[in-house]
Amino acid sequence: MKDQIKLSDVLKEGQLLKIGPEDLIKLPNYDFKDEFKEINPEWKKYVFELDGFIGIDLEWKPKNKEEENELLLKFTEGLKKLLSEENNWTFLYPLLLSLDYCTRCKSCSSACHVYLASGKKEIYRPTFRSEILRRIIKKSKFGKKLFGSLDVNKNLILRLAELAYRCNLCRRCVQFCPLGIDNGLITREIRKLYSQELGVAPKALHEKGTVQQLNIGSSTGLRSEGFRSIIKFVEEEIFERTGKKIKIPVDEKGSDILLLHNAGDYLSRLENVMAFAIIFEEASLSWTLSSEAFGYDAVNYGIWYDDFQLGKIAFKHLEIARKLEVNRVVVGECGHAHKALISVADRLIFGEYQIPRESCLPILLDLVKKKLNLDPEKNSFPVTLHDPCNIVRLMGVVEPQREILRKICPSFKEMKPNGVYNYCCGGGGGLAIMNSLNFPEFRNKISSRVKFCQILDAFRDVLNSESKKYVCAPCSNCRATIRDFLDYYKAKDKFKIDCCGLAELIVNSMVDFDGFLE
Amino acid sequence: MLHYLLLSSFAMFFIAILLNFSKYFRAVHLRCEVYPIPHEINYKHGGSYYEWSEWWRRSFERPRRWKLKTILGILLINRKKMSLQPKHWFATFMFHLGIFFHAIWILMWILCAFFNISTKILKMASLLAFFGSILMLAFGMYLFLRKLRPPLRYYVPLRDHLILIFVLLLASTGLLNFLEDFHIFPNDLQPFFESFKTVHLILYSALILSLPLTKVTHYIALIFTHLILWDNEKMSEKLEERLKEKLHCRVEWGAQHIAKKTWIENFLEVEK
Ligand code: SF4
Ligand code: SF4
Repeated sequence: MKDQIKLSDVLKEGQLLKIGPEDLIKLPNYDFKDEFKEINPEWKKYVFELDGFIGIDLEWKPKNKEEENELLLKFTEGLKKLLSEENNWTFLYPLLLSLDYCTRCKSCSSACHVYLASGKKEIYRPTFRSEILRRIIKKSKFGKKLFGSLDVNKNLILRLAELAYRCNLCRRCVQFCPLGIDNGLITREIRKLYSQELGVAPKALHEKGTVQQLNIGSSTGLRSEGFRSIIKFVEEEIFERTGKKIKIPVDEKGSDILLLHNAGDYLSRLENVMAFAIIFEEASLSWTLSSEAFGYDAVNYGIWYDDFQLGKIAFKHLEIARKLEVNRVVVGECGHAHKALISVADRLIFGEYQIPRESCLPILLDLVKKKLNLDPEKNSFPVTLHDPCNIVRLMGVVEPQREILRKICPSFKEMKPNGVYNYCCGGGGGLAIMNSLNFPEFRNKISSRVKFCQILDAFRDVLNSESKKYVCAPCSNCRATIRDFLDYYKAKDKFKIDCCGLAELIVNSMVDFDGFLE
Repeated sequence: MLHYLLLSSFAMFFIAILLNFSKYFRAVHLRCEVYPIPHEINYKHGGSYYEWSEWWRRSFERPRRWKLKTILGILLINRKKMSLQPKHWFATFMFHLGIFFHAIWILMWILCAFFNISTKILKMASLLAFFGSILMLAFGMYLFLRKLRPPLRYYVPLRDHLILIFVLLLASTGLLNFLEDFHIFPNDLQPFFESFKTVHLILYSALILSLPLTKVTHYIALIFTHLILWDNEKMSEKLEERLKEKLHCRVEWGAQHIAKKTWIENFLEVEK
């Protein structure tokens, strides 16, 4: 294990990097001791040789020479397909430009929160994985010395796959690259190579993610019957909390809006689902939820690792909207679902499937401005806003959520940096849902660390255990990530920091609904 | 003779560039935009048309000139790099300024073979190129040494070092050539230094010819990378036609969940 890791080191045996508490950036105004445990010996059957963390929870290390040769063969095949127009027209040209024109100026490095949080460890530099791909591609074309080509061996193949899951695909680095080189996009292309050719992807994304969603209708395993009973429970819960009887519309054909939530919200924290129901009913919108498979789960994990799963799920979502004959699909507070269904899928679907799709945030703003009776004083606690990369940097929905907060939270304070230049929560690119083995450790300690620093900084004047404070995150996966690291850093107990959605804060400020957030 | 050599090198350079980049003109791909996007009305805060409810009902005018303005801004000043790496930004800016000064002289020199250009202008261009060579040498040297230090050393392949050495060589012959232009050497050494002009121009032609094979054309590539990053055009009939063609390509991916059928058959999970 060396301080200065070279590209060619990925070919060698052993663990490439071992990171310790002394490497991590310091937290502002908070003395917290991170603990690093030795890797469980039983987990050595997985690929731990990159940095000791395991993102891909599959036993896919070759066990003998034969399997090794097969791995090499498949990888080389995948590489060819990644560079062919028929097999990869979706992102081929952006990929080629990014591979061919990086000048290694390294401006992108200081834009990456993973690299910064790790204490600038070489393997987390945005260009490290891109450079490996670049060099193995050049190998097949030209001379070795001249282009610094890399040979491909099993160690490289195994490590490169893990490396592709040390990036949040937040694409902040491309904003700071003078040449517009997209290391986030290259990372997703690497993930695609493994998934689409070798069938290798973290279980949470593939087997228990898109595959389960395509089989059952939801990545959570939730079925139609389960969904319907949850809706009944939501109605009862709303009555219990607010004393108001609300009938949530389900499968109402011909409604104006089909609202899609991340199914995780139906299973873990119902507040966001309840809040949307209250707001939409209070504003008398014509809307519906769907109880049909795919209709109650907006997620599309394909966006993180596989074009085919992405396309299949997008079509399923729009098929539901088509059958319900709605005018538009509104995506609830789920960042990647926004990006997948509203913008990326736009160039995959056509004809009867091209149903207008939009973000819930501008609608919420319209309702806050015109339809709801609000009392901002009810939200007098300190609030800061997290900008989900998929909604903000990658879709340009920046102002509606802050305009709402400025109206309903008198103590709203921005993080720094914010808006399109925000930092990822650390759960982007699927890392939020990768919870097996020791991977949450990587997320909490490294990829989420800069976000936690930002939160501490935003609340620096009120960093005590007396008053409650909220991080508003209008994205289900960001919320899960933030709650997890607030737990890890004991910030809930120490500083009373919690995380909630935007809709909950709106309902909490509604004149007729008392103490919703309680 | 040397004029023709340079002219033909430039011609070949442009043809090679056109061939190399033509594929990007006709490229279709999925959306992968990153905000802020300069042609958006809400550019100042990085917003897009998705900030309006029922955005498809609105007509939004997007001043295309912003795109050009921003690209020129990146080409000339490159604020992003300036904010993150001010020292490196300054060095690359000066280095490129040197190349630019030098290119002005070359252009003048070619033009003077075909048109009657006043010697005063030529002298001024020579002076510019002289300073250009100094900038290229000084800051090129800095960039070269920077690339030799870890961690950059591990990322920069030999080819990139060779190109930089070539440019430094060019700057050196240029410097001698321009010194000779100002007659500062003793008369008996004049023929020796005069030969530097020939060497310099031959080297220049060779460099121009080799550029399309190198990353130096990143100045052109960055236009295409940014056009991709700023491409938030919504689906249209024209686009749909081009995309349908792609969706009907047959794929050969090896993973189990992908059928060896067309993209669209995979998406709709069409059975055989
Ligand atoms: S990706 Fe861009 S910023 Fe990063 S090293 Fe390459 S050219 Fe520089
Ligand atoms: S996409 Fe985000 S996480 Fe990935 S390298 Fe770039 S800045 Fe880092």
